[in-house]
Formats: sequence, structure tokens, C-alpha cells
Amino acid sequence: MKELSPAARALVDAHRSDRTLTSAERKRIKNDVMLRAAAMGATTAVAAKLTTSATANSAGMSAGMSAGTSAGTSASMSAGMSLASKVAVVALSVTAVTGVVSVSVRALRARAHPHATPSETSPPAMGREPPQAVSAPAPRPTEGTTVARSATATPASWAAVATPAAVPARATAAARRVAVAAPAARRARRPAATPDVAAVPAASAAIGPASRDQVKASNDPPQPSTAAAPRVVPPDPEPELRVVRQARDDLRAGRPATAYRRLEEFDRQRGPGMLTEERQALSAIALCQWQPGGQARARAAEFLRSSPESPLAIRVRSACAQGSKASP
Amino acid sequence: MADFDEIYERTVDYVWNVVRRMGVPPSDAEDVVQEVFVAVHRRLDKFEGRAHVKTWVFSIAVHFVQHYFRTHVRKPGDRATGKGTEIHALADLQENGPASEVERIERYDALDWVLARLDEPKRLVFVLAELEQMTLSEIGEIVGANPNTVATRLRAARQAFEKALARFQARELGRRES
Repeated sequence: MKELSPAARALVDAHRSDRTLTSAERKRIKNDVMLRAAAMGATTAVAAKLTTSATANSAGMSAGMSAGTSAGTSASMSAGMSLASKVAVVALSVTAVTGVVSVSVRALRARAHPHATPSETSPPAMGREPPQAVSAPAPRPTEGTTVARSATATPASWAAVATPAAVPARATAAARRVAVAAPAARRARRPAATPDVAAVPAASAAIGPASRDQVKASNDPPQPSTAAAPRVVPPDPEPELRVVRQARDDLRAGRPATAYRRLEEFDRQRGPGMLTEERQALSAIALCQWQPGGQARARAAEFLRSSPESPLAIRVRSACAQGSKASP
Repeated sequence: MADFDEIYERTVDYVWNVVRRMGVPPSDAEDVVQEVFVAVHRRLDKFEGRAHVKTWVFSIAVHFVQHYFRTHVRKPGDRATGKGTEIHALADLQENGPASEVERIERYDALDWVLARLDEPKRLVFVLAELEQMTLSEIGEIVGANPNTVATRLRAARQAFEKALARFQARELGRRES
């Protein structure tokens, strides 16, 4: 095979592996990789955890208390964590809070319908999070209920939630214990400096007309029925992750205006979240690419001032420096 | 099963180099590298160890680089708006750019400029063989071709590389004399 000429060989040899990453870059990329990998795995983990927590009824109440507490604790710990750690916390919080929620729903349902069988029950409540999900005392069993259907909950997990809930006395006690545990979890989360991801509503899990069809008449024993349960929703990191991913794709595809508007819209609607720093960085980069100028520089400066240690600071500086050079 | 952290540490620089040398611009290279390792992370349990880890990771990297080119390059308006990859932007500038833009080429090193003149299949084989020093059979596994095909492609890639380098040198000489 014809070899390269000495000049070509010299050029190739001189540049071989000349672009190694710095340790900061390696760390940043790895953090993002773990973030994305964890995000993809979180949904599956939640469904699996739901099933597990529901079937483990006898130990479920105490587990619910500890899960609620750990959810709050983990949320408060997330303030200074790396991206990968944040996602791990999100996943843990999701599963932990879900555990509490599923136990609560099951217990309340059992109180109202002590003779319910798996085939007579509806899916557990998951989806949008109302304040009462973890803070309100157990509602009266006769109250009407809206049951949300989660995109992640499988029929198997629904059945699993309902299966062990046919012991009224135990379930009633369990409901009380959950009602005690839940506010504790909320109190534990309150001091968190980083906004809790639980505050991010899950748009994708909004309750539609179809879910209303799942609400059955509770006073008709022979018919399938749904017991009273609060409309509860576990924290869902997916919308925020999705908007970050979409904004990144927009930037990559040369659509900084779209990326910027998308991020701003999300910020207006949802406010702070677990990925606020990432959203702010992407927003600054998008603005610098779209409309390099005073406003873009101010946005970048604001980000660099608020997050000087962010691994994304380099990218923001780079994007906005290029933008300012390109601008007239 | 292979450990992700270990694989990442061992291969991330290689992947970064390949992604960059294949012409993915710096602004996108990091995202492509991320996608590569997210895929590695997801598929790790399916890695059977029949191929060398580096070869396996590279095959994923090549897949994502090719996907990047399919989705981000040569879209209508790319040339007109100056968008697209750095490597094609370089080629465009060389052929069409005004003097002020030609000056920007100086910011890129010679190897990138020369690689920009190779079409994608040749560039890929050249980068893997000459820069990453992979064997023909390893490259064959990565690009899905037999070693003979790879050898033929590499020969053509080297010729194209030599031609492009000669053009680069002539251009540099002309600039100095003017």
C-alpha cells in the first residue's frame, strides 16, 4: 500500500492526539453523560419502585415514613451537587416520594373499599403534584377522587398497588402514619437551597378526560370502584430535562432563537428547577449566538456572576466571546 | 462486565479526537461525545467482549458522527447561511470565501484544512488508520467493511490527502510571496 510522503507523515505525526481534553472537560462531559443516562433510567426505576413498594405492604408504612424523610433529606442535600449527583437525587426523590404516595393511595383506597380486589381498582395516582400530596392529612375516605394516570405506571404496577390493600384495619392505621410522615418529608425539603424538583409540574402527565373515565362509582360494590385518594403526583424531572435537551438540539441545529425562546418560556411557566443552572447557561449561549450584543453579554455576565464555578462557565464565556467578536 | 468509568477514562480522548478530526465543530463536539458515552453506558451490559473495547466504543462514535452529518450538514441553506460543520465551512471558504474569510482559515491548523478536502468515507478511514493507528481489521469492524475494502479506501484516502496537502502548501507559498 502506498505510504504517506515524509511531509504528510510529519504533519500527521505532529498532530496525532494533540487534542486531549482537560480534566475539567472530561469531568464535565462525564457529568452530563451520567445526567442523561440517569434521566433515561429514572422512569423505569420509578415504575419498578412503584411495584416493589406496593407489594411490600406489611413493611410499607414504615418504609413510607423513611422514604419520605429520605426524599426530603436528599432534596436538601442537592444544593451543591454535580449534575450527575443531582440526577441521582432526583431519581431517589422520585422513587422515595412515589413510595409514600403509592402507599398512601393504597391505604386510603383500602379504607373505603376493604373488599376491593385487584381487578376492581384503578391505577394509582401519579402525575401532577398538588400541595396536598405530601402535606395534607389523610382525606376522608368518602371524598371523591381524581385518579391520574402516569405515563410510567404499568398495568402490572397498578394491580400490584391494589393487591395487598384489602385489610382495612392495617390500611387505616397506615393512612394515619403516612399522614404523619408526609409533612415531615416536606419540612425536611424546605431548607433546600436548590429549588426542589418536586415543584416542577409534570405537563406530560396532565390529567385528561380519559382519566375521569377511570373514576368509578364507589357505592356500587359489585362494580369496579375507585376509593378516595388525593390527586397526587411525584416529582417529575423529565420536562426540565426535555427542555434542556431540546434547547441543546436547537443550538446544535443552528436555531439559537428557538432555543432561547424555549428556555425562556419554560422559565416563565415553571421557574427554578434542578437544572436551573444548565438552563441559564444554555439561555446565555443561545442569546449570544442569536443576538450578540449588550443584552447577551449582560445575560452571560449574570450567569458567570451567579455560577462562577459552573463547569458550563467555559462554554458561556466561549460562546459569548465569539458572539461579541462577530457582532458589529 | 466492563466498568463504565474505566472505559470512559481510557477512550474519551480518542473519541474526542475522532469526533473533532471528522469535522464536527467545537461547539457541537462535546454534545456528540456525550451522546457516544450515553450510548456506551446504555449498551454496556450488551457488550460481549468479542471486540476490543476501544473498537466497540469507536464504532459507536462513528455511528454518532455519521448521524451528526446526516442531520446537521448539507441541509438546504447551510452553505448560504454559513452554517454546517467546520470542516465543510473550511472547504467552502477555500473555494468561495472572500479574502477576509480566507484569513480565518489560518486559525485552523493545517491538518484540519487538509482533512476537510477528503470526503467522509476517506476521511474516516484516514483518521482511524493514520491518527488513531488502528489496524485494517479493526477499522473494518468499525465501518462495517472487510479489510480489503478498507485497504482500498485507505489507499485512496492517502492519495487524496497528499493532493490536498500539496494544494495547501502551494497556497501557503503563494500567500507568503504575495
